Amino acid sequence: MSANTVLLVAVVALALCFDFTNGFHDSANAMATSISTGALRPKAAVAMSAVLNFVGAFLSLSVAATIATGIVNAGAVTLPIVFAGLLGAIAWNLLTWYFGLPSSSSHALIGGIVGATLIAAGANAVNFHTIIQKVLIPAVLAPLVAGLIATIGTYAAYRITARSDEEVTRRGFRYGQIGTAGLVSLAHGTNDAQKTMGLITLALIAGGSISASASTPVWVVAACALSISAGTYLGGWRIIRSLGRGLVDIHPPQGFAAEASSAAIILTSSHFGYPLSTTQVCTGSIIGSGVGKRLARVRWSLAGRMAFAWLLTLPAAAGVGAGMWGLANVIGGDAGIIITGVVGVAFAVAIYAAAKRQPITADNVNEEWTDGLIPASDKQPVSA
Amino acid sequence: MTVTAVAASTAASTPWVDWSALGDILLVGLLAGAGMVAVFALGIATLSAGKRTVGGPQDGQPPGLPRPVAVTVAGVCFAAVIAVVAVGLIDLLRT
Repeated sequence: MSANTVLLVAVVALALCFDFTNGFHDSANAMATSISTGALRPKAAVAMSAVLNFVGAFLSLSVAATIATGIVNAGAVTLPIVFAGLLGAIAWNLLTWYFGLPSSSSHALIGGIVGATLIAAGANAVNFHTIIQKVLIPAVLAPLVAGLIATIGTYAAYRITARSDEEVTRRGFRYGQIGTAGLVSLAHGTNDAQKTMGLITLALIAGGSISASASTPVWVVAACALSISAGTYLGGWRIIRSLGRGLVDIHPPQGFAAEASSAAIILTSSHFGYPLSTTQVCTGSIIGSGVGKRLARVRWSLAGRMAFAWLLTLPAAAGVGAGMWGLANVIGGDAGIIITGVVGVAFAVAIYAAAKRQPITADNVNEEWTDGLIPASDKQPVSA
Repeated sequence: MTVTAVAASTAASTPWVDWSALGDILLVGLLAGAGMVAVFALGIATLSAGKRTVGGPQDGQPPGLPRPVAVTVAGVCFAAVIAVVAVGLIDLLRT
């Protein structure tokens, strides 16, 4: 096996890009509720989340199982498939970011790899039973479990402090929010950075750069930790806005209960070996916190759009993954990789430019939600 | 070029839902996620009761607590929450 440097470099670079998009997607999960209630100022929140993600990434020392374990035939997965799969995952992460919709980065990565494997090695190389069992069913269970626990927690929080001093309650729960949001960030760092580290390590082994029995090199850990925390700090403001303002008008007790529920479920689900997507747990918790408070309302239309996006994740990422593999394969060799990579970069630039026209930033992330992601004050006046 | 991976389990024989794990997650999640929220809320409510001027109930409010009692009880509540979080973190770091 000769070391194909271009392909290897491309895979490592893409894996780090994926980690970056994962970072800004999931900073919303931990921090949206704290930013929305004012428990933390926007920049402070993402800074704290970035640090905790960085720490969390270094704390995870166990070698991560390949993300698609049991889903695709191990022998069929090649570096070009990983390359194309990453492109599919990144594309979906960017698209959902543009629309301000939370989305599971893990599912996107699985989808991308499945799609590329399907076109490269055929349907026999993909285990659909495992996809249903390990991806689709947990995807349905996660928000339900999270919603239930958050509903109960929120209800309890309001009942118990029903006749308490308002100021004490607000400040107390705000402090609590900082703690629970930090927990979610830490848990995310340990869980998610691992996946990319494992991917890069395996790519390096396959490329012959390190021996098969080697553990993850320190530079890989550092690079992944840096990517995820950089993405976290830059902040998926669009997603933070949807989760913090769009779904539910969140108050401190709700924010606290939501993140506590998320932290508890994320940590216990990985402990019991039945991992549930961070994104879907956190979104479900936020919805639950809206259900649990009397007179609170949930913007169910937005929740429905999010659920729809979740359903699309696997097939959409798979489609892009398959397409990218096909493109690289048709062109062939290093040129195929480079050209396909350029196509990916072009897409990313296009999305970024489109988002820049009506940006959501730390300054307008907390504006009131009137009829959509873009705050009313930012909309260009329509010329007659 | 192939990428090695952890051996796949024979999925065909396993059920669609891991009910046992799900039950564990629900139970621990409820205790740690909702239960701890309730304990924390109790701490806040106690602190608030400690702030009410000692002198009996006013306006139909429940009676206040003497400040030292309130602070102690609230402290126990918050300590319990921190302890549970610590256990969770230690467990996280061990795996």
